[in-house]
Amino acid sequence: VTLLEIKSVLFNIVTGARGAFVVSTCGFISRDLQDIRDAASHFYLVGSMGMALPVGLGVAIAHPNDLVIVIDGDGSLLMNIGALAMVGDQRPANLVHFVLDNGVHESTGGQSTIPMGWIVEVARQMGYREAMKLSTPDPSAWINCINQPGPSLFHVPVARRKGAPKPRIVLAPPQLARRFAAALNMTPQNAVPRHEISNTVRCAT
Amino acid sequence: MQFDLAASALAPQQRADAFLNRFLRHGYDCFSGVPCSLLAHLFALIEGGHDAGRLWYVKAVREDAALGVAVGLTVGGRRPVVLMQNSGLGYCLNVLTSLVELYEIPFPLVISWRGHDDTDAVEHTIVGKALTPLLRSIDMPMVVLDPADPESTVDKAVDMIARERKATAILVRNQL
Repeated sequence: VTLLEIKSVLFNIVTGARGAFVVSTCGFISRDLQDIRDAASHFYLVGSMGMALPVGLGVAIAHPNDLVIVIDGDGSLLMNIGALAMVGDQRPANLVHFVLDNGVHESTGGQSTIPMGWIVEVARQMGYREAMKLSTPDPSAWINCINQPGPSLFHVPVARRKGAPKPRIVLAPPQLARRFAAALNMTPQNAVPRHEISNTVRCAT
Repeated sequence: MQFDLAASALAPQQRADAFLNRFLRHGYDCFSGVPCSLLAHLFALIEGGHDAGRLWYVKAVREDAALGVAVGLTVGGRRPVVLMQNSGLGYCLNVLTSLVELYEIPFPLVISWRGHDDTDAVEHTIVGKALTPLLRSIDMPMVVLDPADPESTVDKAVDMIARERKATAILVRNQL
């Protein structure tokens, strides 16, 4: 089995989910994402490991008509795995959760993580509408996954990185927050009671 | 700061009601956190308000996760309030310093002040003494709830947040 490269996975996500808002976990994943494509619609976490999912959940609740994508790592999800239950409780249809699993804490030197072969089953049990392993490089399959009603989790086994780490996040954190908020609030946004949240949210592709 | 508790004519339920409604009046209509017995009436009102469609409540597994949700809601243009017991503040220090404060995301944190005197359960003793030095050490503004006038405390916190654009703690020593 050939594992997917993180670079091609992130490329599939940013090209398959145009118009979506992305929250990415700290460490190398945010740096890789910035390196592939930087955008105002990206919210890079530089610290607070484990918080990508809660932050993405808050954005998804605030903007029920926008697609929100969380890009997590195996280590960062394991750190705050209880957040899956919060997503399962709220069940935002517009939240897509990718977990890039290379089996190591690569940003800190490659220490092994606890294997999470059970994550798909756990996400389903915790209330995600959809959860599956995703190991195909085919971009059209990724577009289909992204466009399913959420909350959905995709467990993506990936290879360890090769070469030097990508540059650190360029913008200062307050600037990251302000440009992300500005991008979000250019789109229609209002308070929507739970029963009115559509379960057929589609992203623009 | 000391308040004369005898002067507090409000029953705990009335206090909680006044406190919550003041937040709602200021547009703070999303709530996330982990309950404390000192905030029991407030949580009951929030759960009821969610079911009635008056506000939005996100149950959190741990206090730091509630902060994460509040960050997402704030950048999304909503006004959230985070609620917790002071014991949960320990879980929050990293998220406060490397996310909430670092990214300059302003919202109120309602923190019950267990162990503020010597009468509380033993597990609250150390953090009860450490609470205000802890908040000061991370540069977080704070106000103490006036039990006789919860609305003015909310007004004060909301005003501080508008002025300084910083997450601000409201410390609660009385049943709410």
